[in-house]
Amino acid sequence: MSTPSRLRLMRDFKQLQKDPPAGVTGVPADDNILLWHAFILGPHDTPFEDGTFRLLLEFTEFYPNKPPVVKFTSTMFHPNVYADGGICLDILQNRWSPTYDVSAILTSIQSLLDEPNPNSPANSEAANLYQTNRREYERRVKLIVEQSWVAEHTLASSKVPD
Amino acid sequence: MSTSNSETNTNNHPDAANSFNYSGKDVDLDGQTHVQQKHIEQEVVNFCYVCFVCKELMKKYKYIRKTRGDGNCFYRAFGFGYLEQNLKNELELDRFRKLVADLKDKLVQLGYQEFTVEDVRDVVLETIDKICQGGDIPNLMKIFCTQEYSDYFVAYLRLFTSAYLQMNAEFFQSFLDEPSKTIKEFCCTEVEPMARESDNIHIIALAKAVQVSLRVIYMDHSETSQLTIHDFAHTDNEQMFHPTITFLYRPGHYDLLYEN
Repeated sequence: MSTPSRLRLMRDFKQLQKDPPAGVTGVPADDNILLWHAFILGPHDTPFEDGTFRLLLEFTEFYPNKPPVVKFTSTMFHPNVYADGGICLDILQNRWSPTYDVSAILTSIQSLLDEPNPNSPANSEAANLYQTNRREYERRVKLIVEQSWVAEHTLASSKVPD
Repeated sequence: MSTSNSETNTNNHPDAANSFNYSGKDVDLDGQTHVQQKHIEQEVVNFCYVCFVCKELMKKYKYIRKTRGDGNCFYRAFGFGYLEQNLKNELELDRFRKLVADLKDKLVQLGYQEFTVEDVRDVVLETIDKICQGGDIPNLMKIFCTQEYSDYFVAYLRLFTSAYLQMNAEFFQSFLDEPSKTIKEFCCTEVEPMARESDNIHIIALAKAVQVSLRVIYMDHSETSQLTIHDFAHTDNEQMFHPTITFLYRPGHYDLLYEN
């Protein structure tokens, strides 16, 4: 069914393939273009470096006039990420505009990793450590970076029998 | 109602149960009566004001069309009102169609991503084409009540407004409530996101951007002996002013008015 939102998501996908931004990828599910799986690599020279974080983007027929719901499915430790993976980011809430695309969403989340906003914390422990004990904050981040490899490895090996 | 509340039943005022306190020891009945009296007086003033405005409006306008109250009402009312006024006006629709088509390049120049802007533009052009090909009011109603299409129209009108503000940033900068904000920031937070409400600055910009004259009648108590009317002309020649669309504004909401 070609509704405006589905056509637009096809264009988002083509754009992402044609001009892929560094360190992010996104693909719609085989049988549902409203559901996307995405990866974000932790930016260089940050505690998140080398992490491969998985996300799920859920769109509705109101996209692009309404933003998708975006969640980390990898474990995350970040001041603006809730325990369920939900992300507190202005362009996904009150600053959303239909001129943004999937690529803009993913690169904004990638930048958010190293530029948290501790004033509107979704994870108060992470926000608190970020402000008062940066070493401990970075240690906790390193743990979830390592977890992201393990999860990735498990996923990769589960596909091997093919 | 239970017996414990029976004493409040004798009072006709709906807020009485909340504003009167009979149970405390130091009851200031005079004070409470005074508060209630003020409250009633204010309600009478409000009621008289509403009666007055309705009477005045009925002299000149025959209908009101209510728009969805979702923060997009100004743009949605504008889109619907404009197309409704020009259903049979091919020349005007052609002019508007060209503005819609040309806005994309302006937005790309302003730094917007080409394909996302194109996508919104294409849906709006599709809507205008549908209207041109024998559109009537039921058709227009259907399009504007289908949220996917209707919202695209709203989104593009927001982009018209935003582009005009950015291209005339120097002029509009001094009108911002928060002078520390740049026009670009204002557009990102108060113009482009859906559901952000519109103020005078948005109305001025949209009227100029699409060259359509607007009238807004304010029902906000700013003037109690006459209707408060603001005209937004699309040219500087105000003597020739004739609004294409007339809005009724009640704080936080715009509806459409139809002249006799």
